[in-house]
Amino acid sequence: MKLTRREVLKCAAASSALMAVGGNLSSVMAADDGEPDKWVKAVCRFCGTGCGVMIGVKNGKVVTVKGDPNNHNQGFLCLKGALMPPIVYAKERVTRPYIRKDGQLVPATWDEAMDLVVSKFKKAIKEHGPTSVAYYGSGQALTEESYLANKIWKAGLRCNNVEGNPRLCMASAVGGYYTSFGKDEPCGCYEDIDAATCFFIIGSNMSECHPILFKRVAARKQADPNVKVIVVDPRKTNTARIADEHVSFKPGTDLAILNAMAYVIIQEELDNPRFYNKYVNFMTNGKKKADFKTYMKFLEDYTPEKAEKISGVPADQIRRIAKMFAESSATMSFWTMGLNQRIRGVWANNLVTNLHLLTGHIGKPGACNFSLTGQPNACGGVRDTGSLCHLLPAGRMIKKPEHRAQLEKQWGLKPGTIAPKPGLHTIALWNAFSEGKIKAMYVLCTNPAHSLPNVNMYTEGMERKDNFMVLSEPFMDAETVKYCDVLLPPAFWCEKRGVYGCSERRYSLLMQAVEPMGECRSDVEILLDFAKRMGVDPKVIPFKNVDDVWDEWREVSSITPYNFKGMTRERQEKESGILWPCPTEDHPGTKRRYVRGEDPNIPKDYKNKYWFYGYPDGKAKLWMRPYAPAAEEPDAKYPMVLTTGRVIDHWHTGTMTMKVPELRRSFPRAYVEVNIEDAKKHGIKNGDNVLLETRRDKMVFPAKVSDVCRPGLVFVPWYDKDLMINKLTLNAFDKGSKQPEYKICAVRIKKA
Amino acid sequence: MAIMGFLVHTLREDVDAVEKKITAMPEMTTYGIHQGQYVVVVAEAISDRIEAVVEQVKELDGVLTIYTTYLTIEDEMDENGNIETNLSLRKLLKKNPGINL
Repeated sequence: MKLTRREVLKCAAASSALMAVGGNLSSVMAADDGEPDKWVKAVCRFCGTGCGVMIGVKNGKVVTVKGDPNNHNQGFLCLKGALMPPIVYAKERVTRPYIRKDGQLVPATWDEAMDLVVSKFKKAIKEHGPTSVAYYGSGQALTEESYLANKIWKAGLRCNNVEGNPRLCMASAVGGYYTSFGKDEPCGCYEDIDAATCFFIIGSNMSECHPILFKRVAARKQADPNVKVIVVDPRKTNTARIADEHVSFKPGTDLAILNAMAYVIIQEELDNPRFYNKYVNFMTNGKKKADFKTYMKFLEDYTPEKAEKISGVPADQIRRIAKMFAESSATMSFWTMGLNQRIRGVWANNLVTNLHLLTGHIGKPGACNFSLTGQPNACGGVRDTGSLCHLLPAGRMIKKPEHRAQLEKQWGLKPGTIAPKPGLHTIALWNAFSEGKIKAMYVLCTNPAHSLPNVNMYTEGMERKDNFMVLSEPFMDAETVKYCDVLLPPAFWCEKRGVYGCSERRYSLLMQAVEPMGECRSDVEILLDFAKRMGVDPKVIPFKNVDDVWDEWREVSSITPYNFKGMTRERQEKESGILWPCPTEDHPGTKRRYVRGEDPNIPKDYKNKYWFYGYPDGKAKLWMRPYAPAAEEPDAKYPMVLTTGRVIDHWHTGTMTMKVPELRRSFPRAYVEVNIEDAKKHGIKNGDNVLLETRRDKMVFPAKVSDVCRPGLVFVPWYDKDLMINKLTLNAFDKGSKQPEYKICAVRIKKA
Repeated sequence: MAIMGFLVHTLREDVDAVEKKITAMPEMTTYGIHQGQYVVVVAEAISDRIEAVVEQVKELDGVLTIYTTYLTIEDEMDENGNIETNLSLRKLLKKNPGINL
C-alpha cells in the first residue's frame, strides 16, 4: 500500500495515540498481517533509549513490533521502532559471504571467506606484529559480541587496537564521567524524570533523537506546571518548543555559558556548600587540587556580561536559567552529541556536572547529570566491556598495571599477556589504515565509509591494495561494502540472542525471534570461528555459544563496582531489563549509584550518605575548564557554521530506516536547513539548490528555509548516503576523549 | 497544516456519542474507541487553528480531557515558501492545561 507523506504523518499521529492505550495498530497500518503466532521479547534496534519491544512472529517471520509494557518505555515506541519489520526482509540483506575479486564482490563459501580473512590477519601479524591488525566494532553490536571481540584481540592476539563507532558519539561523555567521578556511566535513571522539577537540556534534540524520553519529560512538565524546562541549543528544535527558556547561542560557546551559570549560582548564594565541602574536590585545569576561592577567581572571567560577549546570550537570560537550575528541588540534565562531538567535549561534560556538584542536584530522585547515548548498546556493549583501545572490561584501564594484572588473573592468562600500551583510537586507527600501517581490519556492524568525519580521506585509504578489510554487515547497500575485501553475512537483530545495555545502565535481553536468513550467522558464531582459525588458545576463548560468553562476563564484572553477577539468563528472560550494579540473583538492580542504601557497592553502615568511590578519597571532582573556541571557527572565507545531526524518521547512516518506505518517503534525501535571514541574504528560497563548501569538499543540497537554525548556522542531517555530509565535516578531535568535532566547522553557502 | 494525534478521555457512558460527534467534524479522523473510554483522533488544521480544534473537542459533553501524543507542523509554509515554526506547544499547553504530551 502506497501512502502519501501526509498519510504517513497521520499514521504516525494515530499510532502514537494508539500506543498510549495499547491499541491495535492494524487500524492504521494496512500492512498488518493479523495477530502473530507468538510475541518475543527484545529491545529496539535504534537509539540508546533502549525501549523494550515485543516482536510479533507469524509463520516464522517477523510481522509486527509493539512496545513492551513491562520495560521502561511502558509500551510506547517511536515511529522508527514501530516500523522495524520491513528492515529484516529488505531485498538488500546480505545472506551469504562474498570475496572481492578483480574489484567485484563475488559469492563465496564460508570456508573460502574465513580462510582468506585468517590468512590476511596471520600474514600481517607475522610480518608486522600484532599492532598491525585491528578491530572496529559498534554500539549496535550485542554485549557478548563486543566482549568476545575485545577478548580475542587483547588476550588472544595481544593487540589493543580495539575501537568502535562509540568513539564518534559518546567518548566525551565517558571522559567526562571518568574525570568527574573516576567511573563511567550515569548515576541516575529514567525514573528520575518523573521526580525532576527542572530539566536542563543542552546539546540534545531529544524530541527527534530520543522521542520516548522526550515524551516522558513533556508528560512530567504537563503534570506539574511548576516544572521548568531549559533548552540550550543554537537550533530552535522541537525540543525547544516545550522550553520555558530556549537559550540560543553562538555555536561552540556553551562552555562560557556553563561557567557563567556557576558564577551566578554562587553569587546568588544558591550553591550547596554542605554538599560540596564534604563530597567534592576543586581541580584546576592543570589537574591540581584547589580550593573554593580559586574556583571563584576562575569564574570571574565568566560573569554573565562577559559570557554574553562570548556567546551572544543575554546576561539576564543566563541569570534566569542559573537560578532555575539551582532553585529547583531536583534538576536533571540531559545532553548528547551537541556536547560530545566537540574538541572540548570532555570539558563541556565536566562543566555540566560542575553545576550538579555545586548545587547538590545529584543522587536523589529527579536530580542527575544524564548523558544520553545515540546507539542501542554503546553503553552496555562498548563502554562497559571496555571495547576501546585504552580500556579493559568493567571500567579498568590498560595503562594501569594493577588493572591488567587483575584481568589477566580473571581470564587465566600468563602475567604480562595484555600489552601495556593502549592501541590506536578511532581517528588514529583509520589514519593508520589509510597510510597502510594497519594491514588488516575487522569491521563489525558499522559503516565507517559513511560515518567517519572528513570521510574522503578515509575512503581513499580503504581503496588501497596493500591493506585488507573484512566487514560483517547486514545490508549490501551500506557504503562501506564498496570498499571491503570480504563481506560476511551476520544474523540481524531479531535473528540472534544477546544483551543491549541502554543509557540508564539497564541491561535487557533480546531473545531470538526467528532463524537467520540464508547463510547468515550470528557475530558471536563468526568471531568464535575466527578465533579458532587464528589459533587463539581454546582456554582463552572456551565458549560454545552466546550464553557462555554472557556467563563469563557476569563473573568478570563481579569483582568490580559494575557487578551484574545477579543478572542470570533465566532472570533476563523473565524480566524486561535490570539496572546494574546487580550483585545477586535477588537484587532488584540499582536506580542510583554512589548513594548509601541504594548502591550495593556502599556498605549500609557507611558513615556518609554519598560515596564517590571512583576516587580513593570518595570525592567527585569539580573542574575549572575554561572556554576555548572550536577547532575551525568561521572566518572571512568560510563565514558560517555547519552542524550535523539526525531527523526523527532516520537513524545513523540510513541503512535501516531508508528501507522503510514510509520513513524513506518522509525524508527521501538530505537537505540544508538555512535561517530565513541568511536565505534572504543569499537569495535562497525553500527548495532551491544550495552549494555548501568547506575546506574539505563541496556539495549541493536542497534548501529548507526556516527559523530553526539561528542566523549564521546551517544544519544538514547525515543519514543520506547520496548526500554524504561527512565529506565536508572536520576530523579534529578532543585531546582527552579523541572524539571528533562533527558539530562545528566553517562553511560558505551560495545558491547553486 | 499541522497534524496532531491525541487521545480523548471520555465518560464511559458517553464514549460512543463523543466518537460520533468527532467523526462528523471536518478536520478530524477517528481511529476507534479503546478501553471503553478513549477515542483516538488525528486532527489536521493550520497551526493557528489547531488550538481551536482541540478546544472544540474539549467542549463536547462527556469529554474529561485530551492527551496529545503527536504533533507535526512540518508542512506549514509562509507565502515565500518558508517553514514558519510559529506554533508553540508551550502556549498550547498554557491554553489547554488538560492536554498531556
